[in-house]
Amino acid sequence: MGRNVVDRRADLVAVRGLTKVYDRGTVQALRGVDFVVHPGEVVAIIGPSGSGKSTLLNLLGGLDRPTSGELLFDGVPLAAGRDTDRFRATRVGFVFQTFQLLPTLTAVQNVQIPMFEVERAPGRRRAKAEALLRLVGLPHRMRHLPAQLSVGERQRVAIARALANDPALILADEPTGSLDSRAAAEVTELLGTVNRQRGTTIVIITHDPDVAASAHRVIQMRDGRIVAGNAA
Amino acid sequence: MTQFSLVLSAIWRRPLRSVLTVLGVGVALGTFLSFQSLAWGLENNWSGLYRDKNTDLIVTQDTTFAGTVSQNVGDVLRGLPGVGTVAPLLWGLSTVDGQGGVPLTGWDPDAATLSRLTVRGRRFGPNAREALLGAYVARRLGKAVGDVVLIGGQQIKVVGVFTSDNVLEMQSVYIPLTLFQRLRGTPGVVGGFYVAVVRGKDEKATRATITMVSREIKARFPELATDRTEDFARNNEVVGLTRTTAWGMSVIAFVVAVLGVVNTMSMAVLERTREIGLLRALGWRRRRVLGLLLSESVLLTMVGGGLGIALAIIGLRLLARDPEMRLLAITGSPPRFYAETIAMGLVLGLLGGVLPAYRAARISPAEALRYE
Repeated sequence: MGRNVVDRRADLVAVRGLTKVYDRGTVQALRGVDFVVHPGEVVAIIGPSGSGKSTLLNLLGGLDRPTSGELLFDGVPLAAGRDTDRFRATRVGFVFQTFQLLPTLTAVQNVQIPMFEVERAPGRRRAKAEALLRLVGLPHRMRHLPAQLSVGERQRVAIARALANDPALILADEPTGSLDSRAAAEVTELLGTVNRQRGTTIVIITHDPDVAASAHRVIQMRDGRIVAGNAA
Repeated sequence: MTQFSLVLSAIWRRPLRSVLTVLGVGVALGTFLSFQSLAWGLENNWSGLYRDKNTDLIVTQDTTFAGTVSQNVGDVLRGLPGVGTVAPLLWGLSTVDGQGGVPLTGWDPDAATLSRLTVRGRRFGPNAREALLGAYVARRLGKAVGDVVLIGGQQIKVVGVFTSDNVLEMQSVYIPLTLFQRLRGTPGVVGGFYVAVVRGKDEKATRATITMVSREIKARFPELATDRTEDFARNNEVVGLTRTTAWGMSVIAFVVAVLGVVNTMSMAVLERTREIGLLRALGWRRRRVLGLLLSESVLLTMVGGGLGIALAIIGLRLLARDPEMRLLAITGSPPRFYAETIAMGLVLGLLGGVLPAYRAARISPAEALRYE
């Protein structure tokens, strides 16, 4: 993925004592997690299934609320009362293992979806979406539906969508999990390019050792806790 | 791409369900429009029975003409200031040539009503056993001028077949008032009076005269019902029953349509749980998701409303091919019926879509993305 210069003086994300409990206390997905992510950093999170990786990612992205603990983004708590919709629209981009593209929209239309809350003018939305698709190497696939794209191309469209509103942070949940090795390498390289050229911070859940190896830092989780690699 | 194109895309994605929903809504709103037009047509024809006869006030026993009012009341009415003409009549449903439910009216031969008619043949004499048949009833009975019909066990000669602008009137049989009284065995008794006032110099003056005469009649004969022509038709039991029935059927159709739309939209939300979660994850606010789904619902029902109008127009025009059913024709129905139908389509879309849309907007993005 390549290494960007990381500003370790500041914290983009700071997590303190984060817990998450489901099913009326019967499932403890996170058990007091503490860690920070610096601007421009690529942090890989690894661990077995059920270790709490995806739960942590959901909380970082404001998709869910912690049961207890503190989560700060740019020094501001991501708590109840904060406009988490606005936060997700403008500060965070998501890349999912299964791409999660809308099947009846073309690539350029899918990339525009996050822009609706931020940019009113359809023309400007389209222009930006086209520019992002060129950035991810798909200028010739703009009017294709997801079913007409290869899996690697779909994930690149998803990355372009994640960049739609110039987020400070991209959260990628197993972005190469559904890809063959060649496509996985392309997507990994693309994320690295995004990190280097745009300074976008990336937190990435992965089982892929190549992806983990190319991150600035690797955090290991088990049973809802960080067990290794938390030195920031 | 706009949000509206997303709405269209969602509807297009499920063509069968969208078509069925539009059809269901179209039938419901077409039913509403048809019934309202039927009721309006009936009321319009009914009030036309009186309006076209240059009648201003109608005096009866109980707002029907089947009551018992002394014919002498007519003499008193003629003597009132402002009164122009007074026409006594007797009305009832009779069996004519074995066909029941035929409207039968007894008139004085010089009544203004009869002079308005276009008659093939001639009008009846004062005490004759003669009848005028409306064109539609004549056709139904297969009778022509010179034939004989059986009314109340009596053979009555058809001396004329008439046409008029009023469908209800052309379903009627007119006989001399005295004959009707003899058939009933009630001489000197009528069902009521048509009263026309003396025309004023303008509309306003005439209205004032109508008000004065009405007040005078009510003071003199408090036991009788005195109504303006337009009120009489509106308050008529048959018209009222038709109007109530029309509204009742329309409400039922509307409720069924709402349930149909709720079902369609609920299914759509369930199937698109993951998609809705994705939109929320990508920063869409709840109100935007709500707006997206409500827009789909409203678009479906508005298209259904347009279809309903088309179905109603086609259906009523087919009915109107039969001249006797022409009172049902939609041509001439007030534009407000169309506006009401479109408005109901809008309300239907909002009512049917609001609950599913609200539920969709409350979906937790994290849970929705895990939804299989």
